[in-house]
Amino acid sequence: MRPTAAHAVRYYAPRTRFRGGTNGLGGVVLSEHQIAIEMTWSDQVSECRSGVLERRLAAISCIESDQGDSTYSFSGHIRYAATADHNQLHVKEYRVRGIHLDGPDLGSIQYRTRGESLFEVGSDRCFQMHVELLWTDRNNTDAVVQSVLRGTLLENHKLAYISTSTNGTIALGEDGEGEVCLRTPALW
Amino acid sequence: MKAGQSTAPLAWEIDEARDWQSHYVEHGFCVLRGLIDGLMCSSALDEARRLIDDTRPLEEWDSIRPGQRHTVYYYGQAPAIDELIEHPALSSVLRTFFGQRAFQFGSTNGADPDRRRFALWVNPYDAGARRRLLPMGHVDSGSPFRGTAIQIALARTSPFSGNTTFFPGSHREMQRWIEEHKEDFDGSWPGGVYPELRRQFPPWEFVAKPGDVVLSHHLLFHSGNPSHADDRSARVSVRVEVFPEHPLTEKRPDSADGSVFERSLAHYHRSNR
Repeated sequence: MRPTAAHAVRYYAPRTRFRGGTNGLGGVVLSEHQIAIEMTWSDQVSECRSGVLERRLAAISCIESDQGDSTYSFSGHIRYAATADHNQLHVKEYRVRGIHLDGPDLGSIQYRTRGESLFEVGSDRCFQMHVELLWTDRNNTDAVVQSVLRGTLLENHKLAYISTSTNGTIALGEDGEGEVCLRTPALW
Repeated sequence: MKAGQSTAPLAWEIDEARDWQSHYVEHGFCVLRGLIDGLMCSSALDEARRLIDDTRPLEEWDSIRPGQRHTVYYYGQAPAIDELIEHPALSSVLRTFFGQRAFQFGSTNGADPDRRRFALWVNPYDAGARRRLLPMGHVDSGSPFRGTAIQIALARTSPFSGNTTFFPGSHREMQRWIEEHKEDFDGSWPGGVYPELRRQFPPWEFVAKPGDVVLSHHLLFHSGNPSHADDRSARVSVRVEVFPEHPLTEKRPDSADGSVFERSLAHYHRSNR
């Protein structure tokens, strides 16, 4: 099936929170900025170029903010290559983009890997990748956040049970800085 | 064999008067209580402990150690669990389920990267979690006509032990949706959450004893859940897919008179005659 804009809105994520608050010093800080996205990864793994596999993802997330609920469409991909012995995973690119659909417009959100990385895959086929992501939104141009991707590399080179946890500090415009906490649980 | 009684305070309860076959066709899943004997489950749990490398009581497990696991093992790597999957009682159920199409778990050829495998799902107590069942669930990617999914409980669980929940009857809504959007599909299936599709019933939580088995339709909405039971019980189960030996040649069977497998995929056609 070819992903289209019409299809994208079928995907869903349960909850995103985006709230600000005032600290005791009088400055405005983000007291809670959490995004939990239930990402749907496509079943098919395609070869986007020689030896490089691609798995696509999509999600719709409801972002809860002080201004009301926003709806965002997230889409993206992970491009990777696995060694023949399944012991290493070479991540070429991991990129996700969130587009505003409805409600208060918080601007476009994008996060992506800085470059290519090589990771070990355990004897149980599980991997855990620690990567730096560049986070871009209307207040940030490539802010750096930390992400951990976990999952399983099957012998057919599909990635299964992928989950991510992303944390870091981002600028909030006039609101100063805030912590971003984004989780995409493994679906099972 | 009857669909079993739930041991949980469920928002949706299984109709005990229904046999498991008609239950599966109508609701997209069935539970078979105590299908596999406890001794075999005990051996399989020992094997799971070995694979996870943690011999502590399950009540001492938590989200830090050994942590939540979704680990895939191939045929031959866990003989006690392979044996569990081949249990005669389960085979008998599957023979009935697939009828003349027969069934198989996949190739056992060690050189086949798509060969038979199972996933070990471990969802231990999470101190930071809330006692809740997630409201929407999702449908897995992959062809919905490929067979059925089996989940075998290896350990006793309680409500909110991180059990899987199933949304009864949601496979029928999904079939209707596919029929209405069939021009969009070229044989692949992305799965998803589809919030616009109504869940007719609240979720049913698979609170289990060792040896309890659930069969679930590939178009049934289901979900993992936070693990935060009062007794700290951990959910430990095996998930395996089973396929028809003779696959469907059409995406959707046109007959409501076939096997449980075929009947469970014929809802839309049947309801529109």
